[in-house]
Amino acid sequence: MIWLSLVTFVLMPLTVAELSHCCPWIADKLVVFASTKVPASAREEQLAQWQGDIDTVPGQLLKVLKATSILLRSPAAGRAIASAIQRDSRPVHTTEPKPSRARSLNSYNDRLRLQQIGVAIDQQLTPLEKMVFLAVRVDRMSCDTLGQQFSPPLSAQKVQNIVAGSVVKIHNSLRDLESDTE
Amino acid sequence: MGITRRTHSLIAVLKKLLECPDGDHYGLELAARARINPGSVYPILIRLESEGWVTSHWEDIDESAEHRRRRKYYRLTGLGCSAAERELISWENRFKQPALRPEAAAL
Repeated sequence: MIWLSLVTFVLMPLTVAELSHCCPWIADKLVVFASTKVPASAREEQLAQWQGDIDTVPGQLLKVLKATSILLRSPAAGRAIASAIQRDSRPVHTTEPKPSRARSLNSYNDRLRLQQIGVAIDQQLTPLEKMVFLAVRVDRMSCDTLGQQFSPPLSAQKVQNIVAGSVVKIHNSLRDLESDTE
Repeated sequence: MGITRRTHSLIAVLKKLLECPDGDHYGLELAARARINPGSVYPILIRLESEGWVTSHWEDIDESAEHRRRRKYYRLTGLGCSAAERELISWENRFKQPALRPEAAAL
């Protein structure tokens, strides 16, 4: 009973007080170990950053918890730094700007008379494809502009794909209609 | 653009940076405000800095007088501000089905 009292009321509080005094030292050691995951060229700076941030954390145990979290994510930080260093050291290649890939829909309008065949192929088109043709109307419009008529906006490439797919369906429907009428 | 992995943590950090675009923030402060894992904020800030979305600078203090080591602060750049706004809009729209804008449908 005496031993139990000794442990409970003397040793345990002393141990807890001792550990709490050691917590900043433990946190510092954890952060130093975390910095070993970072490339050598950036190690010192990253360690200084982590130490500076840990110093602002209030309390004792909280420092250890934050330092543990930094240690667990330090491989990711190391990879991000290595990637940044690799990118900085790569020679910069300049290229000529590519011409815009946006195309006007006028050529399709001239060939297929979209509005006049709307009823015949209405069932072939998906709701999104119908919206694309509704948006274009008879205007001459680039795929970029057409994509901006939507919320969220569609990319020019997506609009091109929708139009191309729709044109194939329309063309096939027309061919079927023509063969039926012959 | 080099930031190809868009995660909840990245978006949370960008939101907090945009709340105070002219202010200086340090790593753990951002992690606390964005409610993300403290260790996760540093890879994010490193990637943002390598892309030019944020700039960093060291605090100018007397370490012995302040009884702490200096901190590294991050600030959003102009490029980062516009890019972050685009990222947030893109993130919010990622699950939306496209629909015609009202002004386009009305004509």
